[in-house]
Amino acid sequence: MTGADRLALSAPIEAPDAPVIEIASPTRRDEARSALAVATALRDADVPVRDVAVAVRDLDPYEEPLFRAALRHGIAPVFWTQLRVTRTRPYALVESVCEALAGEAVDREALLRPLEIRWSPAAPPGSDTQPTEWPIEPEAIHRVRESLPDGSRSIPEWIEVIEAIDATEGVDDRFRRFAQWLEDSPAPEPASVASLLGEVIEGYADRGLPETKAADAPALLDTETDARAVVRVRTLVRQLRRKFADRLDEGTLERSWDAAADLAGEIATQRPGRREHSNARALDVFEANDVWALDVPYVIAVGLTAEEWPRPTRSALPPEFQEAVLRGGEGSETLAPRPAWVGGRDRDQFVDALRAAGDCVVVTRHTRTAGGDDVARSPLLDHVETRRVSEASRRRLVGTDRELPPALREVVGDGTESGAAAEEGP
Amino acid sequence: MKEARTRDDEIPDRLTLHVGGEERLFERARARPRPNELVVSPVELHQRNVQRRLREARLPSDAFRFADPVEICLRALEAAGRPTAAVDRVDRLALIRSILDAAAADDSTDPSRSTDLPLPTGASSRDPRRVEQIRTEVEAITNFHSERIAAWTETAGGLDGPIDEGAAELLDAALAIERELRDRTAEAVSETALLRRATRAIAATNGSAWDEAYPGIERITLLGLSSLSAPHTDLLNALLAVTPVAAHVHFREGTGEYLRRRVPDLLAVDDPGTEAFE
Repeated sequence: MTGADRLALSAPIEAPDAPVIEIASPTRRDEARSALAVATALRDADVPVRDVAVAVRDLDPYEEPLFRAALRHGIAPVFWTQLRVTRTRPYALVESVCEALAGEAVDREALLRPLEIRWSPAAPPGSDTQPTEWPIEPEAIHRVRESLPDGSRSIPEWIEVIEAIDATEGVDDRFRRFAQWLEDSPAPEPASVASLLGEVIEGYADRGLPETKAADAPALLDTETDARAVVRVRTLVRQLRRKFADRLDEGTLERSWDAAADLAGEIATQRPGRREHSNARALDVFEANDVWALDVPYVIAVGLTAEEWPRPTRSALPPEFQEAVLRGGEGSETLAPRPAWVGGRDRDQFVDALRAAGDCVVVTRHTRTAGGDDVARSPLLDHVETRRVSEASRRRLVGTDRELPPALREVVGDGTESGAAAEEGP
Repeated sequence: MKEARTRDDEIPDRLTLHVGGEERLFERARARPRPNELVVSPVELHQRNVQRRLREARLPSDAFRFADPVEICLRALEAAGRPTAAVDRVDRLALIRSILDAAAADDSTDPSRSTDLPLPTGASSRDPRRVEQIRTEVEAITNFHSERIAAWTETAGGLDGPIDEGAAELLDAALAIERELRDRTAEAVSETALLRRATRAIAATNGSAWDEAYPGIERITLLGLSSLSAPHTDLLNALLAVTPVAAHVHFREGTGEYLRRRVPDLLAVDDPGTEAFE
């Protein structure tokens, strides 16, 4: 790259007006706790939750620790991110039904799996008959599993087995009804796959979802995830119908429940949607790319380590070629460069996170891996002057008193005073 | 927020490049019977952030119409009476898999004859996702425009061996897979292909497809860009050439100074939106 261009992608970042406070924690889990403790302590200091946003370069490794830390502090986080639908219960149910129907024979695990994920017959329209009968309680499923023999069988054979056990030991009729439902299922055609799986999802919405809600913590976070997943899987089933038909026409897919399950997996892992709901009392957690143009008083930027932020985009192109395109000379002038090859996007996101904050930015990082290896500080932090929070202050922050570190206390205090002064001004 | 602007002889008169400065948008918020400014952001949540700020500042959003680049192209194509169906990524990967399988079958029936499909060497070269990544990277850099393809070849040739050959192979692989994809579907190969089609339609109709799609729009504002891909550059180029619309591009602050310097050269291709596949 020419000197000027190289400079432009590594030039000093103009520091924001808001102060930057840096908190280093031992591990990623500690870091998540520190970040959420800041949000909670701010709330305790009468900063509305809406005035705080958390920005994370990549939510994947942080969603779970942030979620747990939020629960500890009684804060409801809203993750503005992809719903990983393949990890949800409604999706697992659809998958397990396809698997129970796939092939000539299934073993007892595959047979019972849909029941474990709360398979229930769809409620007849407009009725609410025997709401407590479905889904089958886990204990009952466990007892039946114990009494079923090993080995794979066809569904009609399983029905015989269940009826035989019923004659001697008594099995509740719900298992036979489930097995019969499997037996009565239509051959896998686009329309029948969509209607059968649609029925499965509605059964879950009617009878599985209330179970999640009953078992959920007061903030109902699992319920929200579950409900969002139901909506996503409904859409997925509609797409599945169309794509299954296309693939059969092309002759690139066989007419089987196996193939339907594979295709559902393919659709589910592409371009997931976002959890689009906003709740003024919930803490917004964004991926850093999404905070551009946001304007909130407090931003907590999480994950400022050398490994994670910046992390240049993976590319199939050799670095030497990338460099030539970035340089833009000697014949490569018209080729469109991607600054992300050399961490440009990370720079943008870092600046965006700093600029989004009106009053104060808190940056957090961790200093070692779970395995005990050192984790270095992000070089992006070299561009700004930070006020570092001591380990003693950090401990008081994450402790039961949730004491704001002095640097942050100043900001919160200053805000109030300057606001008052402005009102009293001439 | 600081703002830097470029407006000089190197770029078309009606194009203004900004680094940051997106809050200037809020100064243009006013009540209007209908929008006269098209606000375009490639990132979905960025639109929402702008709308949230308008709402919080109690500013009217009547002057603005929000869209993403693909939406714009769909409208322009509809106005021009051109087809808008495109293969999505799931189906594209399936097509690529069948192309790779067919090529492998050719190889095994007649081992003396190597496949017509030039694929880069390496263990993962038969992975559809990797092949698709190569295709999309080449597309983002060249927009499959003949001048940029020539520039790729020249640039690759200037590198030391064996990297020169590696870079040339990637280009060949991307062009070959794009050709095969076109042979296997009547729809556009991707949404980016629709961008090119819309670029050509706007140019071919001398701007009337655009006027019909967006009557009354005097200004187009591109927000929050961390790069300017060749397909987006060419669309912008065509708009500036045949419509009276004024374009404002707001780069982000970490990369904006660099990108701003590169824009004049990126715009220097003839017949934007045309493809090297005829």
